[in-house]
Order: sequence, then C-alpha cells, then structure tokens
Amino acid sequence: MIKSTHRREFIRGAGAFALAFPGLSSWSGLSWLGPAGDPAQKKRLIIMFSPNGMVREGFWPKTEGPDFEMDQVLKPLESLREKTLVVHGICNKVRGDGDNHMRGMSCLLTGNELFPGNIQGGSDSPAGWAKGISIDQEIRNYLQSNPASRTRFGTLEFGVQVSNQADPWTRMVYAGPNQPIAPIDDPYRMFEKMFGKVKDRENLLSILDLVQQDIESTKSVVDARDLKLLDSHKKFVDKMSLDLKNSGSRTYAVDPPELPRNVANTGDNMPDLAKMQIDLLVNGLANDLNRIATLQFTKSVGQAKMHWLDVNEGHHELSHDPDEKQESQDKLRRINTWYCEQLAYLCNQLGKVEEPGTNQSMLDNTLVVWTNELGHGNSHTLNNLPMVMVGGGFGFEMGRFTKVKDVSTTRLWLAIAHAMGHPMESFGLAELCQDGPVKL
Amino acid sequence: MRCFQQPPFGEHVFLLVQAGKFGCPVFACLVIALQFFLVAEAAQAVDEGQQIYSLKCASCHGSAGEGNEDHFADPLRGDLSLAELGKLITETMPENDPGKCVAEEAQSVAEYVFENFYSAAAQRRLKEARVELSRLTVRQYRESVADLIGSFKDSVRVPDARGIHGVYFAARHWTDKKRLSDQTDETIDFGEGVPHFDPTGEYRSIEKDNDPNKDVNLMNQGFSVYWAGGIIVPETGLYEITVESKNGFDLYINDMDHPLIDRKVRSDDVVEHQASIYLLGGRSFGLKLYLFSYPQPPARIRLLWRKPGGPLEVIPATALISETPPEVAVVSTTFPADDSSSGYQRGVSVSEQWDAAITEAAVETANWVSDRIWKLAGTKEASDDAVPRVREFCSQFVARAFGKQLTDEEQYFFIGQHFDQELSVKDQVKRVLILALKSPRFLYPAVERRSKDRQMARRMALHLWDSLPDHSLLKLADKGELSTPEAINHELERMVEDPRSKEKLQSFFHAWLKSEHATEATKDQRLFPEFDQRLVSDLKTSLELFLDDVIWTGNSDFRELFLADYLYVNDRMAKFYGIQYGGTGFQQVKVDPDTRAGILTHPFLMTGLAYYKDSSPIHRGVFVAKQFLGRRLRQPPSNVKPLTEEFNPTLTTRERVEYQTKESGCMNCHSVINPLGFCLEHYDAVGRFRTEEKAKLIDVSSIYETPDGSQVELHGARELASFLADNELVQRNFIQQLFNYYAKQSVHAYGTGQLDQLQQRFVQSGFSIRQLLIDITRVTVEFETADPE
Repeated sequence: MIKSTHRREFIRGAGAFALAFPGLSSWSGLSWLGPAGDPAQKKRLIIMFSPNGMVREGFWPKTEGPDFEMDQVLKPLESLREKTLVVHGICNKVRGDGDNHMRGMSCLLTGNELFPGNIQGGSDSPAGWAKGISIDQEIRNYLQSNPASRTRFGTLEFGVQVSNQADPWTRMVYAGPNQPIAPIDDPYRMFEKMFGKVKDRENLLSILDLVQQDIESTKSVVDARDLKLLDSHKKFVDKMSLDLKNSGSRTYAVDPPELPRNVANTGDNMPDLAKMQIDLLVNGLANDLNRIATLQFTKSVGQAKMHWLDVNEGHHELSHDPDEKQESQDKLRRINTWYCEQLAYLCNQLGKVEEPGTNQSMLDNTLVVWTNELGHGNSHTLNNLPMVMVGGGFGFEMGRFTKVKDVSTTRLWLAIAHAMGHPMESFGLAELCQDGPVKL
Repeated sequence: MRCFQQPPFGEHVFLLVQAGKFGCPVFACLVIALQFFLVAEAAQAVDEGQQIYSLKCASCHGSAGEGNEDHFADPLRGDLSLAELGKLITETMPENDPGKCVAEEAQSVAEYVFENFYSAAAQRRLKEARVELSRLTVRQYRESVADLIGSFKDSVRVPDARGIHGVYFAARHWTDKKRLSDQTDETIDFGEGVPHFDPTGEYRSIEKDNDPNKDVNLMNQGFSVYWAGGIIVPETGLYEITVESKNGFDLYINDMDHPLIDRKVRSDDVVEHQASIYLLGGRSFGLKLYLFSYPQPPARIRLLWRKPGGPLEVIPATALISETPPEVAVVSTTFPADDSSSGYQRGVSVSEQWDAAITEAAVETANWVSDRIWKLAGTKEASDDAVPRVREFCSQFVARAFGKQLTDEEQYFFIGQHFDQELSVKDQVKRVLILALKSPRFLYPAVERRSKDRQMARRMALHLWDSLPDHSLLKLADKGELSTPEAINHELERMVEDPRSKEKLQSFFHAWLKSEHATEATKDQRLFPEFDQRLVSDLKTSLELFLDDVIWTGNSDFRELFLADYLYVNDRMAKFYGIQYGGTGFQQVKVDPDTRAGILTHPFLMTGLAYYKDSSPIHRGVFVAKQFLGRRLRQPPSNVKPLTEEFNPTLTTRERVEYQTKESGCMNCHSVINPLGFCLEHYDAVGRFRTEEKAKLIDVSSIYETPDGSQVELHGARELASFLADNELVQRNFIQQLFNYYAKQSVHAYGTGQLDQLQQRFVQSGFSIRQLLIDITRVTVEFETADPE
C-alpha cells in the first residue's frame, strides 16, 4: 500500500495552487465512505439562513401547541407539520460595535461581540469580525474530535448568491475569533470541493495504463544498463494502478448529483442555484462527507430581486417599508414563502434518503433550523428572530408552536449542542448563557 | 576497543575514546582524492605485490581492498601518492608488528594496491564511469514546470530600476480626481506613517482637483495607496510574508486574483498579518498591495519577509520592481529529497514516494492549468474556437514538455484520444497534462529521440537553468543555427547571464562553501551580544555580493575569490567587525590584505566553521582540505569530543587541538587538517580578526604536506590564500565540483581527458569562472549530441 508518508503542508496561495492535496493516501487508500458505526447514532445539523427580517402577518402562528396555524409563509411545510417546531421569543442579545444588520449576521451563530474595526453601517460605531466561533463549527469540532463521528469535511458551508464581498454582513460562520468562513455559492465549485478528488482519481486511473505503455515504448532508446531504472519506475506505476483499481469498489454510498450544465451564478438563476446547492447538500450528508451544513441565502441586507415571483424590488429595500404598506408586505410574504419552499424541498429530499439499516429517513436524524438575522425588517429588531426547526427533534418535542420569553440565541444554541450530544456548559458570551440551555 | 590515557595536566581525567580500528594507523585513513597519480610500470612488481597482498594483507583488508567487517571495515582508497603509500606501509604495516613489510616488498604491495583499487583512477576503472540515465531532480522538475507553463505567457523583462510603484489617493478607493501622488517607493516601510497621509484630514492643494473650494477631508473620504509591481526572489523556498498594519489592506503575490492576505475588514487591533508562500529563486513574482485608511486611523504599513532560514526584515528595495511579471506556476507538492550521496543532487534513482510525488505534482499542475485554461489557450469559454484552441494548447504543451515535434501517432496517443472521449474540456485537458507530466519523455531528458539541434537546446537549458529551452533558444535550434562552436558559445553567453543561471551558480557556491553551517550558527550571547540572526543574514548577503562581483563583473577570475582584499559591508557589519564604513546599505570596502583574503576569511565562512565560543581549526582545516584542495579525509571517529577550554584554561585553541590530535592514529588525517586550520586562527568564533588569544600572540604558521609529499610553509590566511589561488589541485577540484553540480554526472563519464582539457582552457581563459561554465556546458552538450560512432 502507498503509505501516507508526507502530508503536504498547505501553502496558502503558493503559486495559486489553491486546491490542497491531502497526500498520497488520497489516491488509493482514502475511504470515501464515512466511518462505520451505528447509523442510528448519526446526528446532523443544518442551519439555513435568509435575510432582512420576517413579516409579522402571514408567518407567526397565533395558536401555541400542536394545533398551530401554518399560514401563507409556512404553508410549504404543511406535510412536515409533525416534524416542525416553530419558536417565538429567541433574541440576539449581543450588543457592542456594529449596526444591527452586522451584529444580526455575525453575532447570530457566534453569540459573541464584534471586534472594533473599519466597517461602518449607518451611524453605529465601525466594527470588524466576530470574537468567537459559531455554533455549527463548535459542534463540528466536537464531532470531529471523536473517531466515531468524524467525517471527511465535518461541515460544508453552502451559499446562494452571497456576493463577492467579505464583511460582517456576509459572514455568519466563524471557525474562531476573527476567522470568518466564506460560504461557497457556486455549485460547481462546491461540487469540485466535494467530489473533485474523485474526478482527479478517475482522470489519473484512466491514463495509468497509457503511462505504462509509454514507459515500455521508451525502453528501446535507453542503454541496456539503464533499463533497471525505467523498470523500477514502471513497477511503481503498475503498483499505483493496481492499488487504485483495487480501491475502485470503494465509491460513494450515493452517486454525486448530476448538476445541470452552464448555470451562471447570477441573481436570475437563484431558483436553479438553490436547487443545485440543496441537492449537493443532501448528497454530502447521504455520503457522510459531513454531519453539519449551513445554507446561506444571499446575505444580511441582501438585495435579491425575485422576478420569478413578480417581485422586482430588492429584498432589503422592501423590508424597510412600513407594515402598513400592504403591497410590500405581500411581496415580502411571497419572498419568505419562497424561502420556506426551499426549506421544504431540503427537508423532503432528506426525507427521501433512507438511513441504511434502519426504517428511518435521514430527516429523522437531522435537525434543520431556519432563521434570520433580524426579527422584523423595518424596525431592525434583533428580538423574536424567526426560528423554524424541522426534523427528528433529538429530544425536542416537534409538531407545535411554542413561545418563550426573551431568550438569548446562545441558550438555544446551547440546547441544540446538548441535543447533538455535545454537553457544553456555555456558548458565546457567558453572561448570555447563565440560565443554561433553553427548555422548549 | 578503547584506549585510556593518563592526563598530563592537572587532575582532569582525560578520556580519549576511539573506535578500535581508529587506533590502527592504516593507510586507508587518507582516502580518495584526485586524479594525479603515477602509473606503475613494473608489471612484475605488481605480480609480486599481488602475491604479498593476498598472503599478508587480504585477510584484514579484503581481497580487493574492500575491507573486512571484523578487522578493518574501511575500503582502501585514498589520495596518497605511490611513494607516500609505500612509506606508510613501511612504517605501519602489519598492524601488530610494523617493520616487517619494508623496502621493495612494501613498494610492490603499494604498487599493486595503488594500481588495482587504491587510486582514484583505479576506482574509476572499477566503477566504469558513464553518463547514467537520470530523471529530473526536484529542482529541475519545479523549474521545468514553471517554464513550460510560462512559455504560454508573455514574458516581462525585469527592469533595472528598483522600488515599487505606488499611487496615492485622498479617497478610500482609486479616484482619479483625488490622486495625491504617483511615485516609486524604495520599500514599503512606513511604520511612522504613509507619505501624503495627513492625520488632520485636510488637504488644501491637490493638483488634479480643479475645484479650489473642494477640499478633501480625510475624515470623510478616507485615504488609500495602490502599490503594484513585483518581487525578485533570491533563492527557492518557503517565504514568510508579514504585513504590519492596523489599516485595511489586501496583499497579492504571484496570483493576482486571490489575495495572499485579505485584511480589507479591519477587525481588532491586530498589527501583524502573516502568510507563507513557496517561491522559486532567480525569478520575479507579481506583487500588489492595496492599503486604505477608513474612517481615520493613522495610515501605517510595513511589508516584510523572512527568506528561507532568514530573519524577519523589510523587503529591501533591491527585491522590489515596478513591473508586474506574469503568474508563475509553482509546484508546491512535497518531494522526497534527491540522491546526493555523490556530493551533488542527481536523479539516478526512483522510489515509490518519488512516483507518488510526481503523480501528485502532475495532478496539481493539471488542475492549475485547467483553472486558467481559456486564458492560457488564448480564447474564451464562450468563443466558437474555444475547443480547437484548447486542443492546440494541449499539443503545444506536450511538444514543449518533450522538446520535440510530435509524430501523428504521438499526437493521437498524448492528445487526440483524450479529446475523442465524452468528457468536459477541462477533464480532457487534465488527462493530457497528467499523461505528459508522468511520461518518461518529460521526466528523463535523455529518453526522447530529438533532432540533434533540439537535443542540444534541451541539454543547454537543463545544464544552465535546470529547465527547458526558452523560445529564442528553440528558434535557433529549429533554424539550425547551433551548428558552429561560435554560435553555441554566443548563445551560451546569453544564457549564462539569465537570472536563473545566476541563481543556480549562487546555489552551487552555497553548496561548495557549505553555507548551511553559518546559516545555522548560534553563538555565545555573553561573548558576542550583537551577534544575531540579522547579522548572519547580512553576512550571507555580503558573501553573495562578493561572489556576484567576482563572477559577474570584470574578468570573473577564480583566483580573486581567494585574493580579493575587499569586503561588502553594511552598517551593522561594519560596527561589529570594526571596519571603516560610510554611506548606506552594502558598500564595497577595501581592507588590510593582511587581515582578510576573499572567501577564505569571509566572516560568514569563519563563523560557520567555528564553535559556540571558540574558533575551530579542525573544521576550518577539514573544509579547506576537502572543499578547496579536494582531499578526501576519512570520517572522524564519531565519539571523540573536542576538548573544551575547561580542560585547561591556559591553553590556546591551537594548543588544545595539537594536544588532542598528537597520537599517530589521529595524525594520519590531522597532519593535513591542522596546518590548514591553524593558518586561520586569526579569526575568532564569529570571524573577527584577532592577533592574541589568552594573552598569547597567536601562532598562524604551519607546514602543510601535499599529497605527493612535498612540504609547504604557510604563515597565516593571506599566504594560505595565495597558495590556494595558484594551486592546480584547487582549480581542478573546483572544475570537477562545478561540473558535477551542473551535469549531475561525474566528469569522468565524459571521457578520460576531459578534466585535463577543461583545466587547460581554464588557465587559457585567465581562470574565468563564466567561461568555465560555458566550457563545461559545451562538454556535456557535445557529448550528448555526438554521433554514436
């Protein structure tokens, strides 16, 4: 076997060979299947984000408990009602530098303040990146620290039309203080990241026989005393070819999705891009490349123009209109309904994947959380963030609408960490976590 | 096994631990050296010698002098003359009863041994030196890939002017109306504030702003600088780049599309920002730095680097240019080290790790190319001719990698069949490239059958650049204009001046002069408080400037390396070494010829060849004997620790060495080592000149015995330098080492008289190093392209 004797140091920017190769083992020995183990034990978390606050009318149910209303926005989830939990009363209580959109975004999953910096929004004091790790990465690190739950990537960060800018409005995922992680919003690039290595392997395997022929054909040019060198060279090529062929049976549990070709990464293609990304996301989880994923639609202050919904104004612009302006409210409801449709598609796709060896679906072993950086658009409040959770629940009682009072996001993240099997004591700012995980 | 001696001084117990075999003074102590030898004529004597040898010597030394594990493991090879060898046998053999093998008997044994395996000539015969098939070395692979891909890009001539171009704005972004200045900055070293930045925020006169009432207020507008140009990289390796700034900025190196450091979002008051990047020496790389200040912090920035093994320093003006070179494809795959058991790196062996690394590098390169394929192929993805263009690019790529025009059959094998497959264009490209880069036709430069002219071009580029021929060399080859020695010479003269050639020669000198010793040196901070990494880096620069000066200006006279009476010195060095100096940066300074002599006493070398506190005549002596005089010394017994000062504080370094090596077993080698080392005792552990040690005048006189037994009286470094400069063995050894380093083959593989001829031409050229490089290249080129008959 080829031994993984030298793991290449990843040299950032070195000759712009941006793709790091994780060493020799990857050509033949790398297991594309995740770690073996009881599939029922797998716990997955997906956090889906859409921006600019939520409409009050048409989203929030009026009745607490199992008989909650699924109004216009939540309608797409109707078939998943039993697996859905809507929570009211979760508030982003992080204060400090930065405007509400910035803190709404960069403090949402980190529960931590922003560093002072040079990014200014409105008249608030300028700020930089968040001071702490985000909950998805925290749980990822926990899962990766255990061989039984370790996967190739741990997390994958998907985006749809995020924009090329890098600032606190565009980043919600942090590997640590000052370490924002950019979501990948180009499905082809994400495909490359997830499966590029397989393509490389395929390409390599396809030419190894030719390399052997080529070496044979050059032997005639070489002094007889030098044949030894070429022979031993060829022996190594033979061996690699054999190793690769032998490991050929170890492929993915589920084939990589066939992506439609030539979908440009533009706003008008958002529906196609969203579907491609969700298909990739589900596929990644099905192949156990990762247990955690985030899916970020646009960014805080995102200006998606959803022509396909007959909405020609930018989303953020609309979100500033007063509640009395019915036309805008109606458009905002359509926009958020579309987002909920994406959530429903994601959950339904998860539901279609059987968890091997069980009679459960992958959705039963996944918690999907849909949230937003603001509670309400025109007031820019960080209180009462929309929180929709779908999935098996991991101990949360699903199939209802519940209200809590003025609970910090950090306490919800703590509760989710516990549900995921990571019994940490506190997350984010300690003072916002004093009452422990929220009971829903 | 061990011999214990009663110490003659004080109460210290002196334990001299020696390997058992070391106690036996055998002639194998002095091993192979050079090519001068006497041809033993008397066949009869050899016959007699053979009989005596088999009867009396072979049981310990092996039937062909190969040694014997139980008695004497080291093979009988060396550089003593026949006469000296006879003398040694007479005096020391057999081990248990010296004096039994004397006179004619000793002489005939000596002749037999000398002729059959002891001498260098005999060893060569045994080994049948020939030009062996070699693969590209790691360095050659990296250089070749970079130039192969570079050949599809426009090259940019590195301008003579140094410094980087900066455009300053009283605005956060490039705003022509707010332009404050367009200038060349020597360095980006603005820790106290960037030029033109006014912290009060008021600018009252901006030439390009026509509206006199419209003052630019930095509080509102911000401030920015766009620096663009390139960096010249002195040596290959991993560079640590540091930007010190609290402001927002973006730094690009090589890849102008993806920042190496992205700090546009200022967050927290982090000042130092670091990234590493692997760069190839002798090349220049694009550099772009955008700094902006917003809302209104002071604009400060410094751009620093740490060269491989060097200290953190501001990137000097000498490394900055205002032209942006095209992106270079730098293979960053880690390779196993090349075989350097012969003293130079060569590609005579392959291993599984090497094959894996080559594969990984091929995939890495294929991906790099496919990411940029439209641009490299001179087309656009949407363009109608995109696929034919890409296909043409692939043909060209393979042809250039192999250094020949492809036949139709090869065209199909390497390109056509991949484009026939139902694959995306990028995958087709990748398959073509991986196959080409894994092909022996690329990996073994001698494997492909090329036209004679193409073969010459390939060899010339490989020899001088470790790379592939460039466009102009190929053009000459294809037009048949490399047919006369004059034409070849003319082209080689051009090639030798190329930065890649200069970088290669510099790396040869660092290898020859064992620079790694000094680079890694640490010294006693109590004795030498100012001696730090920055000084070591200055010393290295000083040596490089000196070498550049000798080699690339004037007559390129080899002897100047030893005889020069000047040094390159900067302020820090001048202070430390007490040298008169005025001005800034490095200056050439004349020194008292009695205190310095070229590389021989260069403080960089003297520092490396010394201990933590003390000088080391042994290290220096071994260095001069091996690297300059070409003598081969037996490995020292590994468990002998040098005596330290504590052994007897009244002794000088020389006295301690003399005491510790006085045994006859030691003196076989140390009679060569010590006299050479003692000549350099005027230089302390950090290479400072001194005349006294322990309040005693330092004795730098000695008698050196040459391999043919004659004695040379030497007094101090200057006399040693003169001795070395005019010494034919030193010249010959230099030629041989340079040859091996460049050809990556033994010079003896190129014909028996080759070294002699090269030496003759070296003398005729006035010892020109540049001409020698050209002559050496011609030898290998002519050899490879000679008709088989």
